[in-house]
This record gives sequence, structure tokens and C-alpha cells, in this order.
Amino acid sequence: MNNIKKLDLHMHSVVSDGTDAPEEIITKARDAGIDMFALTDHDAIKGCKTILGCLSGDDPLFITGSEFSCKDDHGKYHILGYNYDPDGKSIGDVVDLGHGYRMEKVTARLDFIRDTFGFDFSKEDIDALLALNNPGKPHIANLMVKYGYAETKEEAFDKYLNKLRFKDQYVRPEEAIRGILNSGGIPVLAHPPYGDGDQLILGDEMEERLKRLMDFGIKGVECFYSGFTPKLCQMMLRLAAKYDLYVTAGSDYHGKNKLIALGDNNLPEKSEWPEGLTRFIDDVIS
Amino acid sequence: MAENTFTIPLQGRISSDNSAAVEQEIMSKLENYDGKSIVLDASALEYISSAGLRVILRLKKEYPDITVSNVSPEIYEIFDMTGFTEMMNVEKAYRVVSIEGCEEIGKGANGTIYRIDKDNVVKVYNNADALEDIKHEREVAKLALILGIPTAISYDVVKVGDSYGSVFELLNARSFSKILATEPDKMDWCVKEYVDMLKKIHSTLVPEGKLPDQKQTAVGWATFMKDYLPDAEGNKLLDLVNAVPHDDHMLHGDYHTKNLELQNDEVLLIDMDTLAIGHPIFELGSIFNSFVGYSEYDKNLILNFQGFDDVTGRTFWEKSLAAYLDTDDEDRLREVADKARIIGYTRMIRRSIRRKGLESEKGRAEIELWKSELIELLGKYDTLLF
Repeated sequence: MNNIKKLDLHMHSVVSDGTDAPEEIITKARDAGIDMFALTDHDAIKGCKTILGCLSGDDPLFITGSEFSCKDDHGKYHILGYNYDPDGKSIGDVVDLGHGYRMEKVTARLDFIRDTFGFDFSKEDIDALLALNNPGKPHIANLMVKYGYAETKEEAFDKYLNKLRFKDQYVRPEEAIRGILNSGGIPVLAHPPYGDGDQLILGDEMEERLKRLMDFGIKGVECFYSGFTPKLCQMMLRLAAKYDLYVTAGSDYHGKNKLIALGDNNLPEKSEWPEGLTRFIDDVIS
Repeated sequence: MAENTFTIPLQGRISSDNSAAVEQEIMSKLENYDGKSIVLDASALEYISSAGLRVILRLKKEYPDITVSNVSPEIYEIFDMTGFTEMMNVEKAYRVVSIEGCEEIGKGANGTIYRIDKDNVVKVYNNADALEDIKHEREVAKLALILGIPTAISYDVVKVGDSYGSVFELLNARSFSKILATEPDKMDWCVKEYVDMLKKIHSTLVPEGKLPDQKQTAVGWATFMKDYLPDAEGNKLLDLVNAVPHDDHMLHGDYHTKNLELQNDEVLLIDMDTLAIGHPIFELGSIFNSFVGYSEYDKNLILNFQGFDDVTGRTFWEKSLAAYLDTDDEDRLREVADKARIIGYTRMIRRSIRRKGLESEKGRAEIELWKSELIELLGKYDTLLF
């Protein structure tokens, strides 16, 4: 039996779009009374390596994590990878693949708005942008506002950036799942009914989506999540039980970028935890 | 309530592109607000993605008493499917319906019913703040249906101009008033169906406390009348009403032929907000008024309201009473009709006075006619029972 009572397996640092440094996250997790945590930066594992390098004896239990943005013909997914070997080649390949696509898209977007709308930026600003861990649309939008090309970020998205769509430059879910598995990790579907965070997938559509990902090797679902209603949580718990999947719990903490508190994931008392969650904990700490 | 609530409008589309900005904007508006109750007005909200839903969920943590109002049907469905409707108060926006050029097919004490298309009718309430009335009518209509009275139940609440309306499905239906007005040879058939339904209503036992007691209402009328009748008659009227025993059977309360519809082969009641319990004499009093009483002084009234003339109205009343009592004994019929008239005149005089009837010549003449009839009848009977 372990002593884990409070856990949070979904959070972001400055390595992706959070505002805390990975080291700060350790302290914050401990202060929040969390017994077990995972850092899950978008398409990155760098922050986990940092944390592994500075953990001390009385820190909460840490497991490696990441959240991969994936897309195929059926839709978009966020796939969490847990407890992988941070030096594994396969997981590194997925990160590189995602990063490569990301850089291609950022460059294409910058070219597109320059050629179509005549929006130019200084070399310093472009270099700084490309040097970020995960440059993307929000960063370009910020620049556009700074230069006065758009009044607000929303306008930058709506009128300009969203006019360019990409079809193929995305990591496919099977690629992410395979990479996680091959590095000894556990692939888990993040906030399943919310898809990539903006969708709503329910009922049969949810179940079909899950079955498709199970064919690729998904092992668990995030059933406890800061943004779930009890109804959505119950829906996911039913599916997890039906298909014998691991259950995880995460807040999706982003530091100051979102008003989500660390550890806020609607997880009930330990006595009420589903079997899939206790099994997940047992398997990752054994 | 309004003073302790903070209302925030939601606009346009809320998705992950702008949810953070929307959230920050809302939080900054709420910065100086100490209360716990907020309303998100969704009337201008076009779309909300799950990123937007999460903003609302987070607001709920800070402000447990949160209401989302004026939600369009499409967005309501999202709230419903995701379980938001179970967690917070989500109020639908009312569809706007126009009754311009629509046929008036019924008129009751609290509203008028119009046909808005082939399959649907809307009841527009007189009271501008009718949401409570609509809720009440829906509840009593459901109760009636459970107790075996065929009736239409509204499926939607809409806005009609500044009023509220409730929408019912009513397919290929015609009111009994229309049938009587256009097919006089169907008089006997109408009487039979009308009385069958009336007997069904009056034989329905209502569980205690579900409907108002008509006797109490009638005691109120009789008490009011004491100021307008000689002492002896005023006291007698009140005594007669007080002596009517309590009765737990159902009364319709506004049972005339505009409130009875023939839909295909089924007879349906459509105006249920006056349902009550009580002795049938109270119902007979109101029926007398509908077909005879109101137009006794001004014959045009019944033609304008029911679409048939006063002769048809009186014939329908007499035939219906005979069928209801299942007799052609003239003395018996006269006796029950007289007792119904006591209730009927009482009600009409009070109604007319409250509507400033005493201030017009016509009103005064009408009240005088009804009053003289009432005084005469009060001298003839010592009970309202039959």
C-alpha cells in the first residue's frame, strides 16, 4: 500500500505554455499537498529531465510525463505519456517529429502573413520567436498586436492566422502512442470528451474514438480533470471500466496563464478511487 | 435578488482562441464584486467550445450561485449533454413568435390562443409577467392528464411581443364553438361530447392540495357582494355558499366550447389554468355565464366571442344541462338552472364592478338587471345543492 492521497498528473511549465519553471513546480506541488505529480509539457520532455535532476528526498513522488498534440483523419487528440524512460530514443523521436512539424508550420505562417498581408517583423523578433521551445500561433499573434497589425490576439487569429490550415504536418496518434510504449511509458488519452481541448466528443463517437486509439495501444484515460462536470467524469469512468483501462487525474495547470489551481482535478477521497487509478499508481511505482 | 447579482454578457464565439482573454475580461469585471451570485447573459453568445465551458466551470468555483441565462437551443443542448444543466441554473432563451395574422381559436380567463401553423397553437397570456402562470398551467395540465383528462400540454415557452406564450401541438383541431357556428346540425353531437367530458372531469378525484378550492373563491365573491346587496340577501348568499359541502372532485373553471377542441376523433381540453376542486354547482354557474349570462343584456357579446348567436348559446346551455342531469323534468331543470344562475350572477356582478362597470351607463344597467334576477332567485331557494 502506498501513502498517496493527492495527485496531479497533468501540468505545464515554461517549457511549453505554463509560467512556472520546472524547478518551481516541485515546490508548488509540495506546497499544494500533492503526493505524486507528473509534468506534461506539450510535445516536450525537457522539463521532466530538469525535475529529475533536482528532486530531493522529501519531494513528492514524480513520474515523467508529456502531452502530445496529435491529429489524423478522424480528428485531434492530446495524448499523455507517463513514466517513460526520459533517455529513450523512441520518445525523443516523437518530440523531434513534433518539433520539426511545429517549426515548419511557424515558418510557413510567417511566410503566409508576410506574402498575403505584408506583415513584416524585425530579425531579432523572428529569431527570438524561433528560439522558443514551442513557438506557435499565440506567439505570432502577440507579435502582430505588438506591431499594430491586429488590435487583439483574437483578431490576429480570426482574420489572419487561421486562414492558413495544415493537413499533414501533425504527429499521428499511433506515432505518439508507439513512441511512448517503446520507451517503456504508458499512453493515456487526455481530457477525452474535449478532444484537443476545444471539441466536444460524447456518446458513441467517444467510444469509437477510444476503441480506435486502443487498437494503437492507448492504455488509459484521464477521467478526473479540472474542466469536467460530474457527468463527463462518470461517462469516462464507465468507459475505463468497460475496457479495463488505467484511470488518471490531472488539473491542466498552466501557472498564471490559466486560472486553474495545481491539484484541482475533482478527485474524490482515496476510498472512492476507481480500480483503474490504484492500478495505475501501483504499476508506475513498483 | 437583482441587487446582489452581477450580470456579465457573453458574446460571439468562445473557443480556445479567445477563452483566456474572455476569462480575464470577466475576472477583471468581477474584481470589485464581493457577492457570490453571478449571471452570464448568453443572449449574444453564438458558439461555445469546451474551452469556453471550462471558463464557466472555473467561474462556478468562485461563484457557486451562477446562472447562465438566455441560452439558445443549440447551446442549451451542449450544456445539457455535458452535465452543466445539472450543476448550475441554465435558462433557455425564449423563441420569439409573431401572432400577426394568426387565427384566434380560443380565449380563456388568462389568455388567448392563436393558431401559429398547421400543427401548433400558442396561448398568449394577458399578464405580462406570466412565467409563474405558465408553470402553474403546465403543472395542472400534467395533473389532469395523469388523472385521465385528455388535454394538450405545452412543450415550449415563447415570447410574443412583450408577453409570454406557451406553445401546444394541436393538429387539425377545431373548437366546439366553431363546429356549433358552422354546422348547426351537429348541436346534439356537440352537447353529448361536451357533457361526457364534463362528467368525466366532475367524477375525477383530485389528490389533496393539488388544486385550489373553488368554494373558497366563491366565498370571496359572496363576501364582496355584501356591499352591493340588501343585508338580508347579502347574508343569505354568503350562507348558501358556505353551506356547500367540501368536494374533492375536479372542476374545469372555464368550461365553454372555445376551450374544447376536436382533434381528429379525440376531444381535448385546451385551457387548464382555471382547474380547481369543488361542488359542480360552481361549474354550472360559470357555464351558464358563458352561454347565457354574459350576453343576457348585450346579445352581440356571444356572437363576437363564441361565433354563434344567443339563441344557439341558450339552446346549448339548456340541452347540456338536461344531458348532464340526465332528465327532461322541467321543474328539476329550472331548479338547477336557477341555482347555477345564483352563482353566475354573483360572479358577473363582482367582475363587472371590479372592471369599473358602475362607471358607465351600460355597466350600471347590466348590473341592475343581474342584481334584480339574483335577489329574486335568493328568495326562492334555501340551498345551492341539487
